[in-house]
Amino acid sequence: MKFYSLIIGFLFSLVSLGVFGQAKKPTIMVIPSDNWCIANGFYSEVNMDGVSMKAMDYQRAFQENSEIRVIISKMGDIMAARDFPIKSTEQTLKDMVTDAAYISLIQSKESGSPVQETEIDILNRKAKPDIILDLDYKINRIGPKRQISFNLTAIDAYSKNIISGNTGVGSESTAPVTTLLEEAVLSYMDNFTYGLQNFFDDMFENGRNITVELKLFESAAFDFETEYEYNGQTAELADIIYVWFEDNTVQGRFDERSRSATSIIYNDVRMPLMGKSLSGKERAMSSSNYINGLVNFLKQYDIPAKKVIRGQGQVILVLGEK
Amino acid sequence: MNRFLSFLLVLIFSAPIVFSQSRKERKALFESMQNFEITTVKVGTEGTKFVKVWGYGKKVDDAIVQAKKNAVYACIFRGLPASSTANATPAICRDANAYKANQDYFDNFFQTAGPYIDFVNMTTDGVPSGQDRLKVKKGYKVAIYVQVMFDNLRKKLEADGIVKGLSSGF
Repeated sequence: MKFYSLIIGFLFSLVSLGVFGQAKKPTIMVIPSDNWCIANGFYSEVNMDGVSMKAMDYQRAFQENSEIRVIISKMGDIMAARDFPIKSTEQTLKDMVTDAAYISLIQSKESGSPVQETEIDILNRKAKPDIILDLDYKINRIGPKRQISFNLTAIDAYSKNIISGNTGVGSESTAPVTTLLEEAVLSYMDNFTYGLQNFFDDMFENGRNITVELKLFESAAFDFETEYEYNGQTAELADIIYVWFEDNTVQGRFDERSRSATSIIYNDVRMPLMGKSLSGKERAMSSSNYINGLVNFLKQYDIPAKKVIRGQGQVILVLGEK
Repeated sequence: MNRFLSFLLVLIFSAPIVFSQSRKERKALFESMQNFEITTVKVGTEGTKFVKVWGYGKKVDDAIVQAKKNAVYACIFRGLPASSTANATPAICRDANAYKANQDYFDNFFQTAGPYIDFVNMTTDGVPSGQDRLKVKKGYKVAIYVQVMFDNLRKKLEADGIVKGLSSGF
């Protein structure tokens, strides 16, 4: 009997290992900080409803600044050696331009119909890293010597939580700036990857941290305060949805950040990494698969919903129509 | 009187025990893998760490061997401290009980001239002298400059299933 339980235990552990091997890998991108872009003149002034704002010009920064390329190249090299390649921001920005041109040229063979593309599709083509590496550095001059102040912060793109922060000042040296920058990257990367590993360990233990926003179409005949029957009692729709999250998050962990009659925002929603796909098979769960559960749950109240997915960590669910 | 005599006898007999314990403690400290000092000298070339590490031994050669083991031990379990010229490096093993959990593996790993030696490049040539070679009770305490092949060491431990890789689970 003991032998059989051992074999069953072993098989289960194999299954769970296989299952964990499929978890969705987050996309990491290095993006120069606003501070660095402004200090180096890579921005433009834009007017938003009468308010003057600075818009960062990342494309020009990558084209004109060789130092930032050295840093990203070195970081990419180290991360690739850890089997966790960084997505190139420069190439992603280039692809966005060429993709738009390419899609606009596609048409059907028979009617010459172009590809349907909504504003949301265009927005979705933008660079959407799951983890942003916010990079900032400054070269200080001390007589004939130079010194690098370095700041590398990894941020969860959805929860905005800081995953790993590394800041400090390198040694004074007469070596070329590129050598000093390489040295700074080498000095901070182990600490940085350690923070990243902590973040992944937490994710495997407590689920992926996502943000869910619930909105209403103007045409909706109800709001989040409308009362429905739930388990033989009457409750507001917002409370019923709250119970759904209590039942469908890892250890019931989530935070209702705001609630009104027309909008609810849930932060730090810990969704399980694994779940059943439409085929009924156990699969690595995306935020889209996860929120399908809520969409199906709301169907019993005749509430249709439209889901908009932003990367692996943000879902906007608009109720009232598809 | 009898009481005084018995107290004196107890004191006399217990004295060696007290002293032998302190000797035992000293010996344990002398032989302990955890009892060493290490400093990061500067940022190493890619995939390496450049450290100054101390080791104890009855002879200078024994102390050098121990210092090499200490350098690798620090990379795996203790982490390397920051210095004025380099950032701190966290330990490869994040679990504080990793040695105990893999006792046989690490006992074999740290055998003299065991697998640990593949990850050590000594950068000082010859026997340490001056401030880096101190005569202590029953032996020597020496410091050597060591280049540890940090990335190779981490990969070895990942391949042997002792630590998880960054991409494991995805």
